[in-house]
Amino acid sequence: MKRFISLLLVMLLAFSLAACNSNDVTENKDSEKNEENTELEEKIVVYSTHPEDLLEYVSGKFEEKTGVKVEFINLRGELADRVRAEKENPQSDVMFGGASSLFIDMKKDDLFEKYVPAWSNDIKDIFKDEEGYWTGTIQTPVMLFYNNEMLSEKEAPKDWSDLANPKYKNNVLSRNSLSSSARATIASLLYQYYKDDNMEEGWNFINEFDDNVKGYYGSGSLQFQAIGRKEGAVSFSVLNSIIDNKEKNNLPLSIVDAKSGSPVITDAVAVIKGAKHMNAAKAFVDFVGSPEIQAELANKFNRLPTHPKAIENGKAWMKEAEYKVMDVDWSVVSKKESEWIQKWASEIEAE
Amino acid sequence: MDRVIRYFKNDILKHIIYIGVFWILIGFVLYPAFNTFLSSLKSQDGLTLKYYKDFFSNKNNITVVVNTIKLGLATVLVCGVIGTGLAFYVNYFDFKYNNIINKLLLTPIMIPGVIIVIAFIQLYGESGLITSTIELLFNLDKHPYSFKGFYGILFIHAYTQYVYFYLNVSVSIGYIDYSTIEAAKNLGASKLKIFTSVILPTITPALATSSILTFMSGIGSFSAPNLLGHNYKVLSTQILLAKTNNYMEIASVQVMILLFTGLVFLTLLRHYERSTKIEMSVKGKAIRPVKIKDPKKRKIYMALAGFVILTIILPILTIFLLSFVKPGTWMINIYPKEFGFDNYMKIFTKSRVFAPFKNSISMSLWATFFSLVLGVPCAYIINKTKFKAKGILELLVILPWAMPASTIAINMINGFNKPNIFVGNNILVGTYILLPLAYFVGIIPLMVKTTGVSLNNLNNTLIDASKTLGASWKNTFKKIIIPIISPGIIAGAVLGFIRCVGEYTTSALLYGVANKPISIAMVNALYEFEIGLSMAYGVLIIVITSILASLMMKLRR
Repeated sequence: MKRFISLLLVMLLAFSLAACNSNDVTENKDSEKNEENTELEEKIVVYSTHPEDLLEYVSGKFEEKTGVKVEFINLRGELADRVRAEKENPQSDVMFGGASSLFIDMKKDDLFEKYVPAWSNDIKDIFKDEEGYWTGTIQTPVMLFYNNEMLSEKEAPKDWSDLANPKYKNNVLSRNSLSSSARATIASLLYQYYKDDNMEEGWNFINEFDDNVKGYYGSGSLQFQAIGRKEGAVSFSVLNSIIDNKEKNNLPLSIVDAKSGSPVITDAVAVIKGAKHMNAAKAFVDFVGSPEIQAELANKFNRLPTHPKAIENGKAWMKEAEYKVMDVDWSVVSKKESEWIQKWASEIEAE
Repeated sequence: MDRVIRYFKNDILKHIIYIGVFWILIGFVLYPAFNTFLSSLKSQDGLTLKYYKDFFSNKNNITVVVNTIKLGLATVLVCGVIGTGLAFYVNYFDFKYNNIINKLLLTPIMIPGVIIVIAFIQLYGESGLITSTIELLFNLDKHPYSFKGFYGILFIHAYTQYVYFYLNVSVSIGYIDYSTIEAAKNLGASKLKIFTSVILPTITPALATSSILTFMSGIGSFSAPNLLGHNYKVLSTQILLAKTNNYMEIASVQVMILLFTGLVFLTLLRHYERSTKIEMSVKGKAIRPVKIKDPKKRKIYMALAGFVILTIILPILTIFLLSFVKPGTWMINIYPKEFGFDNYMKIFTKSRVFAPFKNSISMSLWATFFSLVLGVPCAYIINKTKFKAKGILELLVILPWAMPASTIAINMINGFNKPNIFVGNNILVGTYILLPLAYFVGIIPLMVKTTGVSLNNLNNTLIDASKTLGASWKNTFKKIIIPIISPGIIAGAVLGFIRCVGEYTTSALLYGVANKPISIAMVNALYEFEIGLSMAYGVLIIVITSILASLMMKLRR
């Protein structure tokens, strides 16, 4: 027993020393800075929804250019909650990624610092906040797709309304209501009925869609694996995931340019209010939305830029813009999304 | 005179311990939970029960509650049968390979839940390895079974949680008094009679403890319902949904219902446990493993056990196998064909790769250490003293059980995102220590309970004797109590440590840039369509926990 306890203590000591000396050292220095100073701090903390290799790439480039060390974590669905929870004592400086509907919502909670980067002048108004609290760096379309070894182009769905067509019964796979892309898609589809003041029909559509769904997946990997193994033919996902799985995992997928258009989520960036490394945070926003970096993310990670110059320098399919955009008013969706998704998830999906 | 001073000193020490224990429990368990309770009642015009009324007026919500309870009870039943059966198999009967089997049987607990669920889907899912093999072998044109919903989740719960029964019952089998069995035999008692009146009472505390543990993890589990439930909804997934939708009141109501369900079950079992409590005799004689002599019986027994053990190691083998599958070669094919070290290469060439390993181990050690410091005195006070407030203490100690991992995390955020008097007016959100503290809260009941199982088997006569002979409270604890209960303590510490190393749900809500744990790295890979890579992380977790756990176990004696 004694040996057990002493082993525990020794390991504790060893690992704590190893883990601790890298942190906390910079904290004190940074808090001493005064407001006027424009000098960049030693590090910044980025909360993100983007995958790690993308973040690693961007951070590497930013460190190279400015010497500011970037610490990041990918929080996905927890991102908004986390920023809200830390409002009293913000731990992050920049929120990088997340749908614009989320940013609209969070701006109301007074979580962001107003900052207008130079590059935002060149992008379309739909990609940024009119008051300058957030700016879009990436367009993320959600597209219908199918396994082309199971369906011919003729048999394949042509539009979102086909998801409710009985001929695809038990052949549709969907992410569940915790997935941000599924949430944005269902809300966008419902919005089409909402703007015509026809919600009843909207819920009918969702019910019929639900009848066709074979499974609701809690993970994108499992969703794509199921499509690859022909458990179901039709699904929808963000464009870069579809392309990733076509290219990296060799799945036989075809993308549908839906007749009524595809919802396009704007992935934005914003400076956190009360950020401890304010100057570096602003420099990071300047950097990450610049046409050069947007173009690099386009070519390396299949991310569709918001900046026209970056689109020019991106991949061929980005220039052609071969898909139609669904008419969605994201400020309305951001108000209604929670209510709709809660209903979808607890009343329809559950049956 | 000397004795008076010593007695006085002991008394002070005792009070310091009492105060310290309550300080920690109130600060880290009760106060954060109370905050959540308040938010389920708070509205713009004062306190209200409106959210509860709204919740129960919707029949879908009632279905969710019923689903959750059903799942919890079924989990206890299935795990109880499997875990207890295996414990007797290994400890009561004498077979050659018992030692290895014992180690194998403990492995499921070393694997983080998410990874197990994925491994199961790869085996038993619609196009899983086993499912497809059965279809091929028997030439079926329909899927033989559907690994989804209630039964899918239950299967996984059975697999991941029988270990609690197995471990606790194993420990308590060690306390079965063989001399009593012999005596009973000599007096002509039937086998059934011996079982019900000698063996069963000895293992009852273990059964009760394990039932509580499995029930709580059954109703609180998240990964399995999220990945397999499809339309079988339970409270834990609905809580996250409400939270994602920023409906904090609904989430708080759901958390409270879950907590209440847990408390009811706990109270019932405690009641049962008390009514069957027996005192161990002083001169215990450990049982000797029994040899089954009839060769036919022996074969049947071995075949049965072989099947169970195969089922148990299959998912682990799958994880190892899949970690070697070349990326991008296997999302379409059912049987992997190309293998290589690509996934491991990727882990070790990635920058910032070692930090998660280091973080996970050091945070888990901290949590285990805290839980020892708090748990052992608590277990002693609860089980062996006549302390007046011990009912309250007991409630505080087991409260974290009634909280699923995500609830603990939410409570920690609510409790520590403003200056908090219990931690010297500091804000802990965003600091390194918050996550280890959350781990610690999660394993308090485990630690107290496993220590308690041993304490229940400790005879009061020994303590009284020690006291009568003039040994101090401290000395009695050190010389008599600790040695006897140390198997339970070590089992608890190892279990707790293992639970923390692969913990995902709390980590996802609380980790920061300074302490990203390995489970997060693993799940991130999963989100980026690299199942093989996440399996490789899983293998590394299994290897690390096995090494550390066996190291700790070695020092048991």
